[in-house]
Amino acid sequence: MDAGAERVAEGDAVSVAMGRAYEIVIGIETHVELGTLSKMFCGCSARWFGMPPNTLVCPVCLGLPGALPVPNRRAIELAMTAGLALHCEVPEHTKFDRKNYMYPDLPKGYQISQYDLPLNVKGWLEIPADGGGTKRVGIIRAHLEEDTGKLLHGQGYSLVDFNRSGVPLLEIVSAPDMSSVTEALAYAEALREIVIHAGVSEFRLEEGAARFDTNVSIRFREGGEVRWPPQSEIKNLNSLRAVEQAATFEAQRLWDDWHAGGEIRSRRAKITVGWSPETGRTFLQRRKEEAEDYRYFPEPDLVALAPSRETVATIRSSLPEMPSERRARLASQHGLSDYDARILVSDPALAALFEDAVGLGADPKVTANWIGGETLRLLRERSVRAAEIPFTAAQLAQLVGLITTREISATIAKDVFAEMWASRTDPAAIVEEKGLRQVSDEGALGAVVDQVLAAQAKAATDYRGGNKRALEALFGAVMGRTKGKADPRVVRRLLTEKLG
Amino acid sequence: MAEAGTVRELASALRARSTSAVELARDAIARAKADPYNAWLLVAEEHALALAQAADERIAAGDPALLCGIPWACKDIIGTKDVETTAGSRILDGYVPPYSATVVERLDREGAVMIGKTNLDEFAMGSSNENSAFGPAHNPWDPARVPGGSSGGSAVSVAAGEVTFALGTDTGGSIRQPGALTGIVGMKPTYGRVSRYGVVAFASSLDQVGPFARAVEDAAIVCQALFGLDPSDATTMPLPAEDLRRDLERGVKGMRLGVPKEYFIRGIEPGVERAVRAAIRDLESQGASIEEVSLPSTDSALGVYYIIQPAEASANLARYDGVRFGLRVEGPDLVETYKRTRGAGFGAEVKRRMILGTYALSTGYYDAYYVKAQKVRTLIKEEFERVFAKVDALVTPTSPSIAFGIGAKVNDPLQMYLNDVFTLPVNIAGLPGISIPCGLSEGLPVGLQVIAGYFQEATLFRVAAAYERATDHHTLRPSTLRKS
Repeated sequence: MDAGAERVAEGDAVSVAMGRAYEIVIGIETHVELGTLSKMFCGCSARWFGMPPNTLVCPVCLGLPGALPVPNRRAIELAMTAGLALHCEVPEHTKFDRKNYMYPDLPKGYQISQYDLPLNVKGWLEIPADGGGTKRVGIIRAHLEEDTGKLLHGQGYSLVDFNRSGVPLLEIVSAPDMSSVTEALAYAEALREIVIHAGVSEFRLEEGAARFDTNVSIRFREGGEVRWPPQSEIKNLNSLRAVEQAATFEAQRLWDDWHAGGEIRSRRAKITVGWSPETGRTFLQRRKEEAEDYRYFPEPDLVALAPSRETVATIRSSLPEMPSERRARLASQHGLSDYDARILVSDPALAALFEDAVGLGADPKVTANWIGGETLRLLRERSVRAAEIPFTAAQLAQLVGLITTREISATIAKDVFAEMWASRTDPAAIVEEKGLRQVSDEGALGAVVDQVLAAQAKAATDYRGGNKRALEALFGAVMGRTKGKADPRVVRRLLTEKLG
Repeated sequence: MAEAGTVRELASALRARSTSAVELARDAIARAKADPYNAWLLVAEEHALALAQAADERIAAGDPALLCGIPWACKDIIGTKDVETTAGSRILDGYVPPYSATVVERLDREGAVMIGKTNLDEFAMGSSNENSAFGPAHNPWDPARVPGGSSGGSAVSVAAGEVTFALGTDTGGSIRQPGALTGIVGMKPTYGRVSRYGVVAFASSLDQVGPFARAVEDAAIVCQALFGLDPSDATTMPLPAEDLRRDLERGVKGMRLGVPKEYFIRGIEPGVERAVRAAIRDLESQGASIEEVSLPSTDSALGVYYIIQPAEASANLARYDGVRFGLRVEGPDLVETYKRTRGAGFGAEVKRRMILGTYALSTGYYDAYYVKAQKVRTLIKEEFERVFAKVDALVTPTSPSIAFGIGAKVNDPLQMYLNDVFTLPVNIAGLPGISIPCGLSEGLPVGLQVIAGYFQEATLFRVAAAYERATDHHTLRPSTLRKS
């Protein structure tokens, strides 16, 4: 039998998507640093990002002779929390193992990890399926390990920064259950949300504190046989965009290679590839045949863990609401669209802001719009984390109140919002101080409308002559003269009345 | 320049102000510097005098700890802050630890005065001290012979009367065997009793720090200072404090002592067997009941040991890569730098064990070797546990032979490994064991090993002290010293 060929009996469940040349099969291994204060096996601070090199180090995380690891209880709790949030089982016996390989960023020459008895097994999460509805993606395991240091390459030399060395890392391994790049992205997004909601990690992809290794293979029918050649593992993808582009590229590359009669036809094992965002291509890192033998064995410096059933039950019962539940609740409780609910739940800080503001009486739909609109826009523009939004829920509720009672116009509201963001001042105070209250008084606005009609007699004539667009010029002029404070609905009504 | 006295002798002299810690330190430093046995890798003169000065201040202030002002020697595999630590290897060239091992800190806290660092087999891999990168140590009883190993220098420093006590590490017999071969007390505590933090790791599930002394009581006093939970070592046990000397005077009357028959059948020298049998009769005459017991898996212990120990060592020694500390031999690329550094830095025995260990852990061999060894390890433990349900302690020879000639076994690793057949089962099981002098064979010391149940060190000391009181073997001194 050819490499990659798999004879399929009649009625076999293996399905090859119709209408596409090949089916993609994707499984993802996610590494995510846990949000502990200290490292996995020593007391050094785990908040390494942006710190001067080698300032958060000690004999343990430098791998000095004689140093010994002492497990971080909080990291173990957080790892179990993540596992339980992913519907995993926490076995009664689990242990740490040494994974042996030499590299300058790995100070001990082995990584303390978990091999055959991981802390979490057999879980799942739900994603929107390609064909509509939802789909469960299996979580094979989620185990604890320590992060490595970072290498900084110069011209003809390399430097090592051990600040990251020993930071607790959770490796979450999915089943190869994703059948498209879209589903892979949905999985990554769902996992990110769950991990953040569970309070386990901030999942900072942009800092390298979360990374994806994406396993991609293609499956197709050829000459009555289903073919499923070995996969490529794309290492260290640090954004959703990279996952999308790399997986798309690699699937097509495998397909092209097959048809060009390339090495994939004779290869029996997976390969490891890297992703270059600059070239938009993957590149070969390692063939399985030349893969290292990690020589795992139980870590003798640590005693085996036996998480008590009471501890597991306590953690399970104190799990916060998970994103899917929260989305459903927000949608039904406040009549939000699925889209709005999805945006709010994409970050627990946004959801909390929404719920707090609505709890203070703000209109849910308007509040959702302001969070999904201006708030998100400014967060992205200024690269601010949702947890660091400068205004309070009470201030947002007040702003929404000013809008829904039509005390300020939508245009003015944007200025007030920006001012509130910058100065953290209450919106009511901003409106008061700057005199931004909306003008709805028909007498006052009528006078302005008369002035505009007199000044722009041609536009008025055009409108009367049937050019309806001329009304917009007149409307704009009125809003301009009132510095945006005029109630637009009153202005429109007055204009049409006076022109009619 | 007299020999160093026992803890009790020196402590009372210090309290009586008939000597001072500085004076004791000066004497010990002078003896260490004049040592003809290559026992010392480093005499830390300034460091020792500073400690001694501080000890004298504490003595003047009153109520010092028993070990305050007592000079001691530290096996150079135990990390000492600001004092170079070599592990007997070139690979650690120039390495000065930024922190002290917990055991050193505990002795510092007592006010004990570390005189320097002693010779050893490289990374404690050996039974003769001939695997030291800095040359072999010589046995004071006969300088043409080995002092045993791996803690050879520590044993010699005590046997030659240079210091009152020394620390060693025992992974398969590295305290007890050199203790036996140099005619002194060498003790290995229960695994988990003493912190390994700061001790250069050899085989993590087997290593344990323990004392060398000339008197059983001194060993107990040192253990009292060393024992106890260390938050930096997750394998230390939280146990209630106990007085390890409480049973020193009790004698063995009424005790049940087991003699495992498997410890008298393989290649044991007749002179050694004679001395040990005589010691067992002495204990019986003091009122102990002696019964023969069986530990059938003893035969497998050596095999188990030479899988688990190199396997752990192969990982523990991976950190010596020339990147952060120690020797570095630059190559054209990373892998070549690794190869050159490690090729130049490690000695033959260390390389042999890393190859053995790497092989045993490799895919395809792991189950057949490592996993199987762990299963047999469990069997060995269970056999000991069954025996300790019937007897209070076991008495055996420490080593099958007396000190052998330097060079006699270096080309035959298997013969060398057999030196530890009676001691390494104790490490495999994690039990405490002690070796005490029980007479001479061919004019050279023989050791009696006493093994007790888990955390039963007080029982160990009880048997050893009773034997010591009833005999005068511990008072024998190397003839080379008596002549001078």
